[in-house]
Amino acid sequence: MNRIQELLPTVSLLTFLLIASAVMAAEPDIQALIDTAPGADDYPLADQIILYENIEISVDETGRNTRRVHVIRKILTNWAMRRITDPRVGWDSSRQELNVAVCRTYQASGAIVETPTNGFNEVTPDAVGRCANFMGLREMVISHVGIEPGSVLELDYTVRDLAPALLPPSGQEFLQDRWPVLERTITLQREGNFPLVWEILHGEAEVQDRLQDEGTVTLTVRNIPGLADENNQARRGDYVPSLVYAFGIRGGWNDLAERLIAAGDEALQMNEAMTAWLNQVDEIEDHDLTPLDTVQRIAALIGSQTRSVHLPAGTWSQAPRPATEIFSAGCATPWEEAVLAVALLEASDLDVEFYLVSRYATWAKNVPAARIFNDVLIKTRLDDENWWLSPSRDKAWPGSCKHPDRLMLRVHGPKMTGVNEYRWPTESATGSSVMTVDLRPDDGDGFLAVIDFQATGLLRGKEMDAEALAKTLAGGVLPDAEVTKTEVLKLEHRSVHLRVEALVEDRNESLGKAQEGSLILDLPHPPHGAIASLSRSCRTQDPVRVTPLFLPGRLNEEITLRFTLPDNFALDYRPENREIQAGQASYRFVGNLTDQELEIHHSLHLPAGRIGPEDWSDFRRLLISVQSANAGRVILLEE
Amino acid sequence: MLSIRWSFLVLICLLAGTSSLTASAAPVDIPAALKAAGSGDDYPDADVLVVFDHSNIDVEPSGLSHMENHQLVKVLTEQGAVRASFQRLNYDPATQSITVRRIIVHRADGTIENIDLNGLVDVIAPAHAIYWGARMLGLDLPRLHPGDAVEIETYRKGFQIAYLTEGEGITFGQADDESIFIPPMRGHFYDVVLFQATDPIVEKTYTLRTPRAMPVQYSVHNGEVVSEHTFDTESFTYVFSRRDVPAAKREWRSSGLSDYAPKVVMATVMDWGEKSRWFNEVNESQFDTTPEISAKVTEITQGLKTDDAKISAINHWVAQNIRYCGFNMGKGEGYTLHPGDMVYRERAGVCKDIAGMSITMLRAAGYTVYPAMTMAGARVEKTPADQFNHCVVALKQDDGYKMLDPTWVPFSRYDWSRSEGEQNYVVGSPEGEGLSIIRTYTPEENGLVMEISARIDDKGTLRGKLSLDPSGNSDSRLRRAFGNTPRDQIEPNLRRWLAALAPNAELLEYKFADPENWEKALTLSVEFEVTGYATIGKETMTWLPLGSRLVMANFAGMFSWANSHLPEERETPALIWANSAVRLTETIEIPKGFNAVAPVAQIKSGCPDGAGYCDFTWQAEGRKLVLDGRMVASDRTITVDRWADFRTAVTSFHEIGETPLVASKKGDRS
Repeated sequence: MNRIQELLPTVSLLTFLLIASAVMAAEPDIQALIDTAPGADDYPLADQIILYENIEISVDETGRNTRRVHVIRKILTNWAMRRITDPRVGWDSSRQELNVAVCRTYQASGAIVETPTNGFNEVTPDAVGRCANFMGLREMVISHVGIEPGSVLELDYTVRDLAPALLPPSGQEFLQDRWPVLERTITLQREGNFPLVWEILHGEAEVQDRLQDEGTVTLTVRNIPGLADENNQARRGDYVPSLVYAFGIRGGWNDLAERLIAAGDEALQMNEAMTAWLNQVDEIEDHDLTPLDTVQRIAALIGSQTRSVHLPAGTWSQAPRPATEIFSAGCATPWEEAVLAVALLEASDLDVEFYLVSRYATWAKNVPAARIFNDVLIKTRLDDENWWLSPSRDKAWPGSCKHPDRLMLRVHGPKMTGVNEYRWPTESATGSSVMTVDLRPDDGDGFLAVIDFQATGLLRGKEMDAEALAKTLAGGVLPDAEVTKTEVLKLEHRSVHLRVEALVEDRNESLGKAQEGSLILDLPHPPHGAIASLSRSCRTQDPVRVTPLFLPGRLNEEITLRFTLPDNFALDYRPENREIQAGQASYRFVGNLTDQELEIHHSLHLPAGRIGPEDWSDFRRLLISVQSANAGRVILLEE
Repeated sequence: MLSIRWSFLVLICLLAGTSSLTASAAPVDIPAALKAAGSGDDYPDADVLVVFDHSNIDVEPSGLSHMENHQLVKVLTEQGAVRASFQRLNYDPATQSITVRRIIVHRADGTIENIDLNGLVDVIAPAHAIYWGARMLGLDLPRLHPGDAVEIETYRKGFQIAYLTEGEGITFGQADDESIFIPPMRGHFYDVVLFQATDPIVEKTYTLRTPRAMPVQYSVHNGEVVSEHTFDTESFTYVFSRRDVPAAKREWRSSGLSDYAPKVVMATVMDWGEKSRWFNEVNESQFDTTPEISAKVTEITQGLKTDDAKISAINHWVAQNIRYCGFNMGKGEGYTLHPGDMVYRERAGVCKDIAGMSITMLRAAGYTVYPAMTMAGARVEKTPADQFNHCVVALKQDDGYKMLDPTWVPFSRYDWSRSEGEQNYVVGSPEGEGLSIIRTYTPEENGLVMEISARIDDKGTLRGKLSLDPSGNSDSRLRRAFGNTPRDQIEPNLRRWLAALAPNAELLEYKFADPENWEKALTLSVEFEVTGYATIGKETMTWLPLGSRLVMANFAGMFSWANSHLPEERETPALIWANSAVRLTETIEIPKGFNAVAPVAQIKSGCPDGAGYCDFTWQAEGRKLVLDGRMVASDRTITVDRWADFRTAVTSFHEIGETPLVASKKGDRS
């Protein structure tokens, strides 16, 4: 159960004083922490233990933020000594300052080694290393020295705003992460009437202490285990306990959206060069570009023709430059790329909608934390069809997106009356394939295959190559087959329909490699593309899971194989008919042999999204039934 | 005074039509050069084209060098436009001063944009692991398009540490004290100039001028470079050039570019002995021990009887306890080893500092030991220029030097990495040493013995056990998979490895030896089960072999040669770092009622004297089918002419694992 806490602007001063003295975390007794710190054997899967961590986020009346982090951790292994003892802290040198109060190592012998001056190294963050416009962003590499396994490291630093940021501070602090935590305290503090809204996601029960008054809230968690690492894990924001907070936004998401739109609107400028670019004539065809051409050109401009810069402090940490400047620049943030796209689309008399995109499916609905939205999408409309543009893709695409488990907020569009939550319909993330294979012996010792393959929503970009697909399809049915004919019935918009003919001249070379007199045929596995393949070939090794599984796309797969057995060959093995249901997943396999004709039908439906640990066992059973080697295998023997 | 100029050709390699070019000569006709250079159609695989790259270097008697560079790069594709629209100019303020004279964008339609250099941003460069304060100038250019070109002129004074040399642009900056620009070997100059890059080049020229008292010796390697040597009463002038240079091919595991790109190596240094003595002198004061260090040495060597045991113990202590992280110590950074007490206190350093710690401790233990320069991953040519990227330790013995590398042997049984066979080095001794080379390791010295025994039941479920007994590089890699890997990843990594057999391959149990016991190999045993692994029919059953697939999955990176899609041909040598020999024995017992049949008697491919060799036999013994044999990758660097054998052997080995096995109830069906 999530509760929303909104701090009231007026509480008696006495109450504030009484609680305030308790709410700020007391400085720890470091020697006591060291003396009682567990060892490597106590946490056999950990390389370090967070003994103590205190995060204080405070905002003054002008919106200036001060973030203090004080962490004490024990290094357990050689790997940790080498790899995680140079933390990096970022700041914006145009309006922030960084102060490191303490950086030291307590060796097991009791010696204390302070980090020398040359152990603090300011660098340019990798993220902005190829864009001069953002090189005011800095990063301090803070290196602990004198470390051995068993050492305790202490770091205490503060990043302080000298001027407020574009938006008031907001964020998501995870209460659990990779390493075990003995104690972690997070304090949110605001001055005066400055608003603060916060909520705990996925972990109400985890918080041991909660102190609160009208100016401050302090949460403490203790003895938190490290997160398990399992394959195909769900995104952590959707199951790991976290504190989501937002300062300074009184009117909820609408208020936040207005601020974003105001900053964006200021940047929506056109100039002659941009107009001329829009009015370019198609050089090859010598006619005006169609609206779809224009949309695709804009998509390519913000997709592959501009370097995307992902700001370390988040997409919304800096106001976008004017579109005129972005147009003539070679690099831009996703927000800036979106602004450019909006300017050009609106100048083309197209309606535009602007969406914030989160990594996660879940959110704190009443906490207007801009920080949890890390990406943008733009939508326009052509001939009654939606077309989407993204800074991360070089082509616009119609219909809907393939992020079934991600939250979006529509913040700008024609006739909008407020911010709208938007989720992709489950169907939109569906990939479907239908494959029919007719396989029969030829007049000699070979096999002929006719394959009809249709897929929607599965393949994209370079995967949509008819020749390569034909080869893959043919090879999936008959190893080393030669493609003799490829008919492209459709190849567009992530939708493909091919008819392929292939042959092998010597069936023994193809299907009888193992042993003469036997032919082994595996039910062909249609090409699914990278994303859907994750669902189908998800590892099923662990009988038990502790974290949710995440399947990135819904998958519908229908395969029909009609196999004419060669003369003098009999069927020695075919898979059993079976039908399995596991929640929203289902699998059905039916095979029939009539004279020398074998017909197999395979029907698999996998859901998108999360599968909880409690449902893993059934789902695993279904997947193993699909994946195992004998699931779709046929063995023929020469009589 | 009349100066008589004599010129003679030292080496001409190209056909007539090539003239010696001097960068400081007549101004270049840029539009004509761009037109003549061609377009994307002429370079279908390139994103940008270097139209010309002219460097002029003037060296003073102190060794201080002044370099003018003039470059013109043409954009061919949209990707090239994105890449070229940000100009990054690296420099090390401790050793260089560089000025950007101008940057000009030549548009495809002929218009010219002089870029305002006030847009240059001067910041510390992004960095990881080495924090010596290297800086960069960054400049966002106006959006570029195919057909546009970027012209840059710069001037540089000083030198660049070999570690930090990058191919991007030219370093740039300011400084007041010129003495810092004089290279560490005062009065000398050296350079290695590549005449090929990953972008095609129309023309590259390098012109060097040294005082008459500083003659330069040079050598040309890996192909043709036009060279010209002239002199007058004041100076020597050397001009090197090349035209119409195709982009260097980068293929799977291509060795360092300097191993196959045409290059000129040049130096005023007489010989390696001189370099060796200098390296010794400049570092000799860095190895003084302290009471704390001496006490630690005593503790480390306590109870050890032999010199070898003591040396190894010290080297391993340094390898295990000094992490790789480079802090700037100020003057001399880059070529001077940090003092032993500094490294000991910080427990951190780059390779030279880690080597320095080892030297300090070994000297405290009474041994004669020196630092040595080496090049990991590429050849060092005979001309004594600075061609090194790594620092190691040379311990003097009666019959020569015992080489130690504490940087490369964390979690390794060895004192020198088996990935560093055939590596050149120069020891920095007071007497001066020549260029040496580490011996070649045999594949068996980097071997792995893998034994698998498994049973398939009558439902097709396979239950098996595998054991690994590694040596050399295989041991080090496997050891790191358990000792130098996050603890929460050890088991998931094993699971991922087993998934090479089937997505549902279940890890039942595993045991591994102590990763920090250097006396014993890091043996590993794993028990696993795979439901439905084999298909059981009425009369036949079929399944896939295990061992080949497990090896090809390259667990822990033991086999950098394991690639199932090796191209038939290649143009560049392949560096796999460590040769190896895998001895595999796989025994599968099938259910009652079935007779095991060997698919073929023998699989043999490659060549025992070649770069790869695969030799396996199949034997059927009742219900057991046994695969036994070896897969050998013989060469650390596989040259182009030896590629075919290597590829054939690896491909055959891979196919063993992809060819189904069949057993019948009615006996041999063949």
